[in-house]
Amino acid sequence: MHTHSNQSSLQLLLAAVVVAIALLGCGSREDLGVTSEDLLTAQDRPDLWVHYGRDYTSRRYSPDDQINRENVDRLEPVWQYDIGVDYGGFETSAIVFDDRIYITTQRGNLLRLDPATGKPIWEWESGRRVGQNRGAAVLGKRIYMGTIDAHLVCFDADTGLMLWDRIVGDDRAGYHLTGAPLVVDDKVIVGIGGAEEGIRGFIDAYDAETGKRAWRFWVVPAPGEPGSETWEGDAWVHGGGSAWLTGSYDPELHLLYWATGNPAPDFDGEVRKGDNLFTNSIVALDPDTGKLVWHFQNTPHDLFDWDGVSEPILIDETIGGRRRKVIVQANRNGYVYVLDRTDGTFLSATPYTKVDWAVPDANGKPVMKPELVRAKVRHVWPGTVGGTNWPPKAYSPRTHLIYIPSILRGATFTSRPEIYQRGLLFMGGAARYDDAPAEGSIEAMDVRTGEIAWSFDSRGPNWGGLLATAGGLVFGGAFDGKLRAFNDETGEVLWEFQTGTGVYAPPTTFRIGGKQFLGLASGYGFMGDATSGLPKQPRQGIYYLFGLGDD
Amino acid sequence: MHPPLSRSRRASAAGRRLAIFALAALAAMGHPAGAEAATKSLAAGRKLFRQYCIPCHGETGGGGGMGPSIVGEKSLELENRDIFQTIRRGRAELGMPAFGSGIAPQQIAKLVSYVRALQGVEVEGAEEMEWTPAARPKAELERIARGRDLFAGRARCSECHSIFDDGGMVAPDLTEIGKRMSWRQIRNAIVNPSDEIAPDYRAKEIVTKAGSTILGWYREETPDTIQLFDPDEDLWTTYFKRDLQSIRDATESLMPSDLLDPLNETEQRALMTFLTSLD
Repeated sequence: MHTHSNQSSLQLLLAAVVVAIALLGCGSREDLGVTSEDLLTAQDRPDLWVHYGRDYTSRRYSPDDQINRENVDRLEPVWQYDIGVDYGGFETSAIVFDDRIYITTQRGNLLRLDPATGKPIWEWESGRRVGQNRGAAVLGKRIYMGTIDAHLVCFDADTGLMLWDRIVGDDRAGYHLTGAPLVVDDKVIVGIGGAEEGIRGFIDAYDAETGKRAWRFWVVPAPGEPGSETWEGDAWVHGGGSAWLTGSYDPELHLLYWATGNPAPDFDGEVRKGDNLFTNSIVALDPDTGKLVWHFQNTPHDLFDWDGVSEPILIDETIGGRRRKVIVQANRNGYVYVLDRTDGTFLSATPYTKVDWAVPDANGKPVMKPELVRAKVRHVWPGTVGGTNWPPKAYSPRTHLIYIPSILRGATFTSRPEIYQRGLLFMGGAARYDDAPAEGSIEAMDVRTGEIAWSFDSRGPNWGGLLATAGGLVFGGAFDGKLRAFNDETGEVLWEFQTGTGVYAPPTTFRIGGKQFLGLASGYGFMGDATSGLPKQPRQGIYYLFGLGDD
Repeated sequence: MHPPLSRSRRASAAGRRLAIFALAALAAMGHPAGAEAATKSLAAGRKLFRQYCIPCHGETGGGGGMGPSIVGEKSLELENRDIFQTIRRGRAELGMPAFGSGIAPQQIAKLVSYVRALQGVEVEGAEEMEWTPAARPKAELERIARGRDLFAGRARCSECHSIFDDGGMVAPDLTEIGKRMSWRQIRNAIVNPSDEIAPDYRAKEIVTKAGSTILGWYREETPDTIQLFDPDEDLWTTYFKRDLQSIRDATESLMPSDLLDPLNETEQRALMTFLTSLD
């Protein structure tokens, strides 16, 4: 039941929480903000959402079961806030701690929302063009955010005052920051975007206090550096290799994991013969120095723009009869990869969608079909946006399942020589989607066996990210505008809500005043050509907070 | 100074085609050198057009997915020089990038001649467009090229300054420096950078209570805070005045004054020729 009185009681509760916080004043807990300890233990803390992927594992699994299969039908919106931007994708994951909510928008603005009303307490206006922004990071009382013109900006969490603003790359040459930063120890780590404009990709770490650069890992090595033998001539200069999503961190192994994107030019491999390391790879870096510890390349010498940037999810599972620390990643190239995260050992690659371009060898290296290697024009599955794109996956230790928002549409790829021109697209060809409209689904795959436990037909490409909880639930929005709650074991839809437009962001969950809530950005955005032929969606940019109403 | 241009001739669609055919015919007849050169630059222009313009403006300039038509009635009002400058500098507000750093001026002139042909406006050979650098003496062109290399290389100018959206972002843009300043003024600005400092690039020096001294460009100052820019780190930092001992206006520029020292006479002259050619 979505009655008015229900919403009022929830709002009253939230208002009481805010007053209580104000009365408590500057309690010591309140003063510290998010400590390193909080960042490390977030996995077990139902109140927090303090990393892009919730905690260092990027599982997007909350231990909270206040909202569960029994009561999820009482879930309803508490408030909604219109960000006033109704174009571009509204992709943010919130940062929540101490009953505070921070979100970012596609305009690059940072807002602190009042949890009681959804109204901004303050808003930092970036003055940038509309682009993409997937969220912020936090350490202490400082919030960190990237901008579309490649600045990393640090704010005071209380007032929104800009404390420092670091130019990370040259926007005019196509360098962008769209992913949320990751805080590890005293460093803020970001991956650059812009391979489509022929950048040379990197992952950077900045001192969280001062904004000075601590290290840079070049995704594309210079001549003489390890990996440079996989490039030819001067191709490395504009070799691409973005890293535009957020990585994960294992404090025990003290390793940072980040996934990298496609080489440039995207479709013309003739000018960059070789495997093109470390593009389309998962790299394990020493977070203190940025030095490479190991790497695994998912798609060597990519010809299809398959940025393998999806988050490496850190899990511990019994695989092949042995308890292992592994990475599971649903890659754009159509496979779910399982690697041993201590040393990068390949364990398995299993298709989660239609894949017809290659077969992985014993080491997990995909071997492209000979007829495709020779072809000038190539038709393959998945299409150019991949079998899944940036929207986050979720993993539940309850079910051992990884939940993947997937996109199903083949494409035809043609290549042509292209001369690099600063700041312009550098694609080296084109991809044309099949005429049949895209389909999509949520695929729930058992990480131990590679078997699909259930799948849900999204009736359109799925660009909504996912969330799993200890309440036996999986939450996800989709192209049809609906936010749904699924039984995490069976995929049965237990609850749904029409947000008004295609959902293009993952839901997050956290506690305000000790109660579990769900946050969701709803705003249809760029989905490539993958949505052509499908009904047009209304335009809006709304941030929703959902909570449990009365019985 | 560049001589004033004659207004471009308006032409009908049929006329446009005629102009192109006429050129081809002239070339076929082995007509004097002028026409041959024009045909040659037209061919070079076509090649450049394929590479740089078609992706946005379409096969014949009639408009593509991203860019508008550049052969409509309105375009006929433009001077050759307008088109030349638009290609060099771009139209940032419309999303058109600047090509000035990627295509040499001589080549842009050829591109202009081809765009003109598409518009059906009588084509002048690029060499005849006397306002372009292509019409400058060969020795001067060589100096400009040498100066451009020094700008991006040993003279270290591009570490801080940009031309045509290429280069550093922390010092004033020099795309039109040759129009704004004379040879003498530019040279003085390099050798004595503190003589006159562009308004947005004045520096302040602060001393923190902890005792460290920081010199940087500043932007926003409030009663409580001041923001300084550290060009070595590409970093703006907000300082709280409560943490500072002192703030003073720096009379010196942050630009080094010894930039010409590693260059010999000839190189200095080449750099100056290049900078003054930026108009």
